[in-house]
Amino acid sequence: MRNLIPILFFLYASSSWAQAIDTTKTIALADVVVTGQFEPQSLKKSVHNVRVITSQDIKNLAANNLGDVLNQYLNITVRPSSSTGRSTVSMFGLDAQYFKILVDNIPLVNEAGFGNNVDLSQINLNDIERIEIIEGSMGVTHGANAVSGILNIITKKSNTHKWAISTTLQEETIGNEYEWFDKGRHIQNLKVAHNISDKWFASIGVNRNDFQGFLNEQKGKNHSENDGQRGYRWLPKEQWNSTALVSFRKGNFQAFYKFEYLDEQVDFFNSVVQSGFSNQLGAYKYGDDIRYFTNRFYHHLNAVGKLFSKVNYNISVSHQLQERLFEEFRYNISARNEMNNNEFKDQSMEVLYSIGNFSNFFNNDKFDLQLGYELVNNYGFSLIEGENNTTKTIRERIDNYDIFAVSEVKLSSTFSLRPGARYSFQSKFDNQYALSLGARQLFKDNLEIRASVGKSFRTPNFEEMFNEMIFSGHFFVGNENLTPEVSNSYEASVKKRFSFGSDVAVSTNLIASFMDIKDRIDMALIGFDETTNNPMYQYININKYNMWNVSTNNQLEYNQWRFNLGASLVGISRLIDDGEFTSDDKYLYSFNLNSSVSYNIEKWNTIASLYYKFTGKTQQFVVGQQGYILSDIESYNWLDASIQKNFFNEKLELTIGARNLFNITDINQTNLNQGGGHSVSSQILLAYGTSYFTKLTYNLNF
Amino acid sequence: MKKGFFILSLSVLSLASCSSDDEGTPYVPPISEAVIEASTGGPNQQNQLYVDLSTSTKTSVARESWDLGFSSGSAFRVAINGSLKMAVKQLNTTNIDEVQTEDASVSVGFSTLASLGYVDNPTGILEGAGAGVGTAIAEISANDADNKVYLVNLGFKAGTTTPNLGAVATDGDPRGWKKIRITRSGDNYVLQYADLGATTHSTVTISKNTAFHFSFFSLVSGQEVAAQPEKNKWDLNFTTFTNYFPYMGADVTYGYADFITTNVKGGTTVYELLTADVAYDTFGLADVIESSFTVSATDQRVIGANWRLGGGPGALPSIRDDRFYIVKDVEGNIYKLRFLSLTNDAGERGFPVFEYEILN
Repeated sequence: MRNLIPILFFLYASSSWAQAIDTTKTIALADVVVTGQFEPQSLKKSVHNVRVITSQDIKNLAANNLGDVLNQYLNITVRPSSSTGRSTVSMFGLDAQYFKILVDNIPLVNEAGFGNNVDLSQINLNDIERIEIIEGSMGVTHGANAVSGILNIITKKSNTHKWAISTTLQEETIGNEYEWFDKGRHIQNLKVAHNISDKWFASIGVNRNDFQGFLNEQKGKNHSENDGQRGYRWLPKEQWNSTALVSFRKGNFQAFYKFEYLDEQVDFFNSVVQSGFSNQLGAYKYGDDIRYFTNRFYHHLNAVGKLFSKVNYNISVSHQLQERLFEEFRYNISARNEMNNNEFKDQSMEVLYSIGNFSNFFNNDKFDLQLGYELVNNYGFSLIEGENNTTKTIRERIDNYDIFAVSEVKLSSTFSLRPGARYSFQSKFDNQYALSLGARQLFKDNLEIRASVGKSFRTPNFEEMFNEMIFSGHFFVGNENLTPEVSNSYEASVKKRFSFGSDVAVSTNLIASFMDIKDRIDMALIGFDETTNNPMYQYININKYNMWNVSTNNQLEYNQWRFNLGASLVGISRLIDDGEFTSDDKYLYSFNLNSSVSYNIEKWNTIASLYYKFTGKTQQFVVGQQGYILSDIESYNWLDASIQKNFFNEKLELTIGARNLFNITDINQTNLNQGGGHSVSSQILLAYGTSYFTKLTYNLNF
Repeated sequence: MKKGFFILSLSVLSLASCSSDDEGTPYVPPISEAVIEASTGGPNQQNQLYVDLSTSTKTSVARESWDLGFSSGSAFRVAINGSLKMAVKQLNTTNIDEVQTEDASVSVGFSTLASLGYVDNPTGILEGAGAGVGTAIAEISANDADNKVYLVNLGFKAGTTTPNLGAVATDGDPRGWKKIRITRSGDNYVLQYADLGATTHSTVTISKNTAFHFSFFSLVSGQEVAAQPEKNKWDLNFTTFTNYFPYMGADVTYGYADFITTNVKGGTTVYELLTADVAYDTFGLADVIESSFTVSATDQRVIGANWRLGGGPGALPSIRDDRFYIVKDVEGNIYKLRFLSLTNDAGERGFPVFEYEILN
């Protein structure tokens, strides 16, 4: 027990090393996980069901952002936006506000949230060890907004070489659009890692991701007819991502400081071609265009060690700031110049954060206690809609100070119980609490059974609290008196591993889960205006959500083959009451399936892989003229394929492949135009068709 | 080139105004082409702008200056000011001194069905049996006992806030409520009006002035006001407007910004053409199809809001550059006309610009 930390550190270091050398042998069976654990420990011992996405998966997919990876994840769909260029996660029909994304165990900021509502395309996968996902309400260990699940990105913090320099070039087509500079996607990056001494380690990296947008049927920025065909289907975007890490270790003590800077520009070209006239310019055509600038500053200081040679501590302090600015301008299509340029700050979130975990208080193998605190100072800024087509500025400080305790009771060598509780002191809302209980039983013959109950909550966002869209008969407003939504989740799972001889390993699991959310926030009719008799709508805590899910995941490893098959059936019931109509709350079902296969041709240093996912038809209720009606979102298939080959003793690494081989672009949703005065597109933006990529990495280690 | 047209039209305009001082009415040839900046005052659109095409004369009237228009036609009809979102409801009494209370349902908006008959029919045709056809106020009867009291929602003042660039803020504070009763006296109208809680009332006699479509009256100032050019001296009116709008299977009332009506009572007619079918530049008199004007003889909304896309969440309105209009003015001159702009160079709404050219 005393020497636990160095051993764990060795596990940390060796797992990345192992994957770099021999990718096929590190099947997830022996993975070490950290998310929701007291200490890093084996997946088998974890009371939570932790899903792991390995760095090899990321390599095989040549994923350049988190969206590319999560496209293959069973219960997640990635939803891109054609108006802002953001990509967000949707899990069990719940949007990104219910899902929390962490980097090295601490939530990641974005301009409109902390951990939740993250833009997946802004998460660089350059330096990632692995990704851990836990589904379900994780409020005790991860606080607010960990409702549908959490995703923890573990970055690399060590290297076995004295010097490791690596540079990568990646070229991708966007659908069938590609040119050296003006079309397609162009990625370059450079990483340098150095072991300064046996105590000090440092690394720096820079990554450029230049996405030139996807035109599809659109005609670009100089199209001059007002027929809706100006601009892009996917907005051009350029990202620069810089990271720096310094780490120190000595005996039981280790610490790191990590810095990241993200600089992103997204170009929005209005599909509407406006007509202008003035005495100076005569008649001309123009677009009301916007450039979005996003900056993120991320500082994270972490220390792990022992107090009084006994109590383990793990403390993180972080300052994070993300802001989005926008520059509006009139692009004169006739003269090809810009006028009326105006820059505004749109949204920002500044967070001062600290989390600390303390464990190993007792000299007792049967019982361990983890005590923790989490301090969050959020300072948010947002421009939102005000009365009569105006914009108002919201500056709000939302703080919470949480304490939590989790104990792990080993009733026997095979049975563990894990009760936990969190209390959250909230500055803006009523104080919240979260509870959890987990149990894990290990049987003979590699059979594991787990069960857990969790509780969490989601806090309202700025729009829900402060919006004021009031004009010309429209009245849609926020509500400062909203209470957080409360969720409960339940999960039970069975996992079994088989091995046939030394070269066949099989792992299979079956998971059943249930989740409910009460007091869901939605816009609903609250009454009629006394003077105008116009209907008034406001965000209120009104609706209910229930979800159950049965899923299975199976892995087979045979010689140089790796095979994975997963399937999930999800039933979702929503009671939507908009003040006029109430929807049916019957369960609507959808089926998803994913599968991957990879084969390692050892003598050629080559890995070939295929990743497939089927997303079944989903249904939801949308409001129509006489009440809620069913709307179908069609099913689709997603297939990624790649071949990766190493040359010259791992110095050169080449990956070629294709993403989205079923050539999916938009998918249809029915019954969307049933009410209201403005027509809505019945096409959902999903992808930009098959894209072919080639990636070349040069590693120089000495 | 366009600048040239504009200067040309300005000079013709000044010539025209000089000549009006001369004795008699000398023949002034119609404007052959011009670019008109038809400002309604900016994003609050506080003015109604009347344009006479043959002289390219603009007349601007504050929307709030009038409430009721008493028709000078043979029928005794009274219009309300739809640009302010006024609405009226007939009460079951002829006693103007009876105390009345506000009724929120008498208003313009999605929840007010057109068939309730609280607003004037947007075609501009005054005659009709009510319930959304013809004026909201029933024809003034010679028999006083038929002329009921009306509850009047005066709508909204013009807005005063500055909205986001490119948007409009047309509605200001509510203008309050009145009750009115109108009777005949010979060929004149007699208007009784008062605040809802009053037990006394004011009375004013309003005579028909046949040089104009209407005699206008302000319930706020208690005065007759000039609010429209003479009936044969305008063709187009740029204004906010109470229209009918199909919503959830029925027509409801809805306030529009950037609306354009034609002088339907004065004889201006118009039809729309798509550039996909015929080009603006080469369109000539020989291409005019007389029968296409028919619709606009009984509907002032042929240009209406069709000249622009309405925008929506996240999109500002824009000019539909795929169409132009053929206009026959009150004098019978035929023009082709197209819109050049909806905003000024800074992007502010309420500054439409159009160009037109006579067809010979």
